[in-house]
Amino acid sequence: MDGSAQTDVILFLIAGMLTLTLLASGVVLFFVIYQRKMLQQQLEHREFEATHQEKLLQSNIEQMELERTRIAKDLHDEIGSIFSTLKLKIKQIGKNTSDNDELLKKQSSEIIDAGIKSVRRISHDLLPPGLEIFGLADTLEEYCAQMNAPGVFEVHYYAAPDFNQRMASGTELDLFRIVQELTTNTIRHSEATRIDIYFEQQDNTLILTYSDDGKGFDPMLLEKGKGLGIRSMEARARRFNGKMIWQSSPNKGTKVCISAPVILKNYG
Amino acid sequence: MLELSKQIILFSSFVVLLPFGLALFWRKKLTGAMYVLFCFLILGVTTQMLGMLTTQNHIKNLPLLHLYTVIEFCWISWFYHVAMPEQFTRKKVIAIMLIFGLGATLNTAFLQPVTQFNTYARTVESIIIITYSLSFFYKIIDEMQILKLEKEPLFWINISFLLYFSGGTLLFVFSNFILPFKNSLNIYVWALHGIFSILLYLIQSIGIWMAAHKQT
Repeated sequence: MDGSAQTDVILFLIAGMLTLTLLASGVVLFFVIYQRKMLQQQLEHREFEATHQEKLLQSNIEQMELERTRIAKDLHDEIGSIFSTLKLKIKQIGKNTSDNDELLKKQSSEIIDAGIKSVRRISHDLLPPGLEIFGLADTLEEYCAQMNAPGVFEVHYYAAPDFNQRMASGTELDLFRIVQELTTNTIRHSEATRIDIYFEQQDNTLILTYSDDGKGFDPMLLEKGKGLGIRSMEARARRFNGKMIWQSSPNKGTKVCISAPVILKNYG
Repeated sequence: MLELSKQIILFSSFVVLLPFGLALFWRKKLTGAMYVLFCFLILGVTTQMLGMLTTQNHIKNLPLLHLYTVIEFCWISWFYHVAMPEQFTRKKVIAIMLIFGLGATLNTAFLQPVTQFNTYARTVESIIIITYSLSFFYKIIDEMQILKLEKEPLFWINISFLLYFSGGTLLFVFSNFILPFKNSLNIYVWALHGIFSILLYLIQSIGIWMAAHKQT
């Protein structure tokens, strides 16, 4: 092979090598772009799923509150009034009755009283009556006082002395529900003997600190997955742009800090 | 141009020291496939040193290439086994290594003796390694576990192998054919190979850097 032919072969070879390298670079480039695109799609899909889940959760909470309100009103207005009427009727039964009848009258009256109390209690649990009128701080104070059993299970409630703000009724109800859920969890799972609830306002932020002296839990569990109760509480917090911070470790109790921007009640 | 080509060839012989030095410095941070790469770099440095020693002493070092091809292939195969244990299981990779080793030995014994380039073995090696590399890309797309590719050391190492063996394949095929050509022409082609080698080791250095600084 003469020199010119050799040069041609070498040029062909170099061109081939460069072409293959460019082809390989193209593969890498295509791969990187394709991977980014797929990742973006995956991300959008996840975001869509999360938004959808959040909407479902919020809608569930709203429906639950509506249903609670309806049941509470029905209980109070209908069953409550039936009991009251029944009690009145029993009182109207003639006085010339035997001792046995008198005993029956007394027992019936007691049963009706118990029924009225139960209806009131259930109705109040479903829709705390004082919340709308007296606000969250007073309602929480009453709620804690009801649960408090000195020496057995103590529930301490403190509100900062200057705390007298009223917030939007939805926010107050959500905060109350969160505290209700927290206390229920403490009673059910933590084996705690004491709960402390502290309510204060720092600048334009409302801070509610809840702590118990129960057996606590490993915070890693929250990373792995949250139960419906916790997700529901956090969804409620998001409704008023609030944040929930969990602090816990095994055998060291649980502390939850809820912060929310103060949006005052609109009386207009 | 000829002088520049010679300089490139000479420089490419030393570039392996960069990833090797980095790997040596951060050897405690290299685990799994990256540790296999570190061992591969030790092999690279040793071969380079032997190659230079034999050249200086006017000893033909083509036999070294025959041996290096088999060891290099086995090492890279093991690298991909550690990087993709599900796709390239131990049994599968050992079988590939044995078949390749046997083929390369038969090639040296009967087809291309140690006085020639082992073009068949080098070409087959390139094709298999390109296949490994493309499989690795497929795995990344399939699993979608890596969020930032540029921070993933194995991604860089994979690119280095893909570019080097893609660019080099044609040369490996024709290296015996062009051997009787004018020396200057051979130097141009081997200078291009030198550029591929420089790319290989520079990209591997990035991979090692990423592995050392990877957040766990």
